[in-house]
Amino acid sequence: MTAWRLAPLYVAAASFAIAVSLPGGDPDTYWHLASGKWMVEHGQLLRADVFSNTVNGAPYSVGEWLGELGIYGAYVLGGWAGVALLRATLIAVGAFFITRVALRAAPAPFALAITAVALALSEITWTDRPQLFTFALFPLLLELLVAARAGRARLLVVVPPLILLWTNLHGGYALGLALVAIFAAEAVLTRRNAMPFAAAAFIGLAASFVDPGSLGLGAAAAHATSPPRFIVEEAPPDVLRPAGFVFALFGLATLALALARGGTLLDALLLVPLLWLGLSAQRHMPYFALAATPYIAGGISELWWRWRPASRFALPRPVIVGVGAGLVAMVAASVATAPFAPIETQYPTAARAKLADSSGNLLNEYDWGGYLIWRVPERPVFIDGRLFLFLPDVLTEYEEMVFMRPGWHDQLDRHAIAQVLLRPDRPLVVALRDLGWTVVSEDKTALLLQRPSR
Amino acid sequence: MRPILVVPLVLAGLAAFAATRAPVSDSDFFWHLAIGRDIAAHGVPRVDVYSWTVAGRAVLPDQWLGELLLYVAYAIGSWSGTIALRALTVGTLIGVIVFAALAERPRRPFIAVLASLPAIAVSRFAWTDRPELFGLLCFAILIALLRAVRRGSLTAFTLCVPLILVWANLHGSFALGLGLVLVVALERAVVDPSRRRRYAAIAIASVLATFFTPSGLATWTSSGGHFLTPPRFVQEEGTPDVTTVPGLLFSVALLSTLATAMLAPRARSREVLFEIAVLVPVAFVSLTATRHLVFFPIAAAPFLTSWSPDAFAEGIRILREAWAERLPMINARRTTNAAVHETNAGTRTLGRIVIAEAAAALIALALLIGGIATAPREPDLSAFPAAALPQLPAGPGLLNRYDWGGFLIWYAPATPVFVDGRLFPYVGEALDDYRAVIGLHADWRQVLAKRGIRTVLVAPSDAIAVQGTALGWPILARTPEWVMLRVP
Repeated sequence: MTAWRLAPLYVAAASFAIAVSLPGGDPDTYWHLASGKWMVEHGQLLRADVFSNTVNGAPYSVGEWLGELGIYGAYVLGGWAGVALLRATLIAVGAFFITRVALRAAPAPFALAITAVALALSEITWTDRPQLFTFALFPLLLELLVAARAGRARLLVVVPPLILLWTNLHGGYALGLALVAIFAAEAVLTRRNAMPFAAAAFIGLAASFVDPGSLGLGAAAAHATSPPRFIVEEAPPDVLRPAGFVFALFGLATLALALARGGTLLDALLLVPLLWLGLSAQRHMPYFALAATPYIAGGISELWWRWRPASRFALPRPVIVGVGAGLVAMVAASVATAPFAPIETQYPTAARAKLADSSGNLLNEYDWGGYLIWRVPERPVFIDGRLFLFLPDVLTEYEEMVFMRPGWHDQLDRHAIAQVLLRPDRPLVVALRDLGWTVVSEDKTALLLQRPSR
Repeated sequence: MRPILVVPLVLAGLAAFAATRAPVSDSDFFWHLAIGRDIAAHGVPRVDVYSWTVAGRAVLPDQWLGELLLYVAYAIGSWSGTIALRALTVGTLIGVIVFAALAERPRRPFIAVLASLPAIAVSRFAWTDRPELFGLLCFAILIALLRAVRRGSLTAFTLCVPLILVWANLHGSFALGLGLVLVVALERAVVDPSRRRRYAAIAIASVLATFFTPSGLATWTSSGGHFLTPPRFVQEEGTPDVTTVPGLLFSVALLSTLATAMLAPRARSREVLFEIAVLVPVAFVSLTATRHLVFFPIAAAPFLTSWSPDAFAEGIRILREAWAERLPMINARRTTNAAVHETNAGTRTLGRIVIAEAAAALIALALLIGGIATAPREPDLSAFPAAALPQLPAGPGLLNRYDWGGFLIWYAPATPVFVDGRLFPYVGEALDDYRAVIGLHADWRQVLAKRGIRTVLVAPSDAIAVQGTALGWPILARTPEWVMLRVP
């Protein structure tokens, strides 16, 4: 069984190989990169908007400043390859620690099988954004807390600095604080190492305030309870789609195993709120799946042994060596052949040159804002993925215009929109063509229209 | 000990009364009513007669009995009849939910009510005048029957067959009921092998019962379509959202069930399979669409009644073990309460129980009658373009908003609709064309010409209304809620 101790490393290597070969191209990657670039060039934190024509100068949260610098640093060092390698490394870190947590609860075959499914579900969040740091730190912290609960309480010393780092990397640190609070609550209720866990929770909470512009716990809670539903990843899970279905399987397996074999107080304290969080938005589904992995793996293995008590899961050494060599080759091949450059077919690439050559206020598709910030920095955007900056007025006005609600024309004039860059099926595009706006650029993805001169 | 019916009856009466407070207003109700009228007059319809876009196309009469019931209630008592039917159904639904929970712990009515609260509250969102409400009642009855099956009643399992037969003719949700019957039959066969053949016979009879509908095998297509590919653009078919009130109530039931299952002692090995067989599939179905959220809290109420006291006791035990020397009072209090409870139960007499139940039944009846007597007499049409009715052109050519189709079918039978809440007949070309015009897609002009649309009756905020107004189309009528434009 000792050979299975290499399993976390193997899972991490496999995750790295898969993650590095995934193409980038998330719209938010671009504005995070641009933010990092601005901070490096100006030697200061980006505290106000500099990218839009609608809220220019408005203050906004800089809670993810370190995450943005991290991504931009990777870009400076290695271009898009650097970004992809950072992504793969963070995912490998997450995979490594979640496998370790699962192996504490179940024999390797069960732990690995459930971990693999959880990681497959988490793929929906493997985008080049600061949230990747949360993906790495959540399993790390979970492993740390589980190890501390198992007797290595001194590990809790790491919690406050970890929370401090996380707070500056990504708003998901609230999840980390919740994790520490849950373990502390269980420790207090059962009077097992209550003081060290409580101290870690309090100092961790204090550390989370050491951030130049944290989202704040209130904002994090507000985000969780009223997510912007029109963004796909913020929509509720759809269990009739692949990712939602896998999430549902985790939820139902947890329920079935809870009915079959019960659980501990910690299981209930941990999994019940995380299930709610997963149900609240698609982007939160993986965290429930990751936390439920040891519980499900442990439960299934227990049932297995009731059925086949004599089972043994030893692997011959040549197999271990062979798999390891295969993974090394897989990582090398992935790095060598990965399409590091982001896929930009969903963006208005054909209109880029025309956009750069023209001027005036631009009304752009929401999903393209980040891309334009990075690729056409000469043209401030109307709106982009930094959503909260644009709530509520700009987003409302954007929708009024794009979906042609009454008053759309007045809004167009009020914002002095000179050009419109939208998908061809938008009602506004149809109407503006009728009104004689000039087509500057057109392809299947985007249409760039110019206001007629008066 | 049989459950005492006082609490279910009183709650049923209160729910029935509450259900009479709202006027008739559901947009789908009107087309159900129209179909019910046609069934009463001409038999079960097989083709569409209400639209001009899919006129003559085959339609599925999968809810014919529910629609007939709605129309009979209307024919007897006009809109008050509709409300009376709604109140009676809701009252029975709530009564059955609480009864099924109470049956698990007849001496703990407070826990039964507490466990039923999420189900009662979330069911409020399904108190509409549609066959769906009858389907929900069937589901609650099925859960009560299956719980009785778990307690050993073969009669209850046999009664599932006629229930499925009626349900299959009332509403498409029968598929969930049949699924549960099959799963429980399998579970019973494992737990109680001596009756394996009887369980198999009941399962087969239940499957066959679903074929005794005017649609035969085709009845399944409606359930399958809704379940596998729910039309997400319809609000009630959207993905369940736990940040909304119904979603929150559902999550309370789901998370309570999970926490209870984790903490309750595990000495129930023979019961566990039944709970898994019922709760896990229903939880999945509930997660598929907002309108399905209600199923899980109903299924979970008896479970929570049965298991949650044990889970609570386990929580106390954990605390006691950890904090014994600091919280010595917990043990004493629980003993005292249990002793009082047992004493009270022992002094009840059958006569007093019957009198109490009769009084509760009278209260429930009074609430039902009082509610119906004081219910709104007329439907609330504020959400519909009622003032546009006199100006609607007869014959084909109207493009109406989806939500208003049912209203127009009932109130403007001379003007066939473009689309309405029956949805499935329109899926494909008709629905695509509707979206193209109302959302001003690139091909909207071609669709307008191809379909021969002469008038549009839409909301002023719809893109076609904004564009039509900008293009100078004649406005036939307008209010802040709707606008009727003539297409030049």
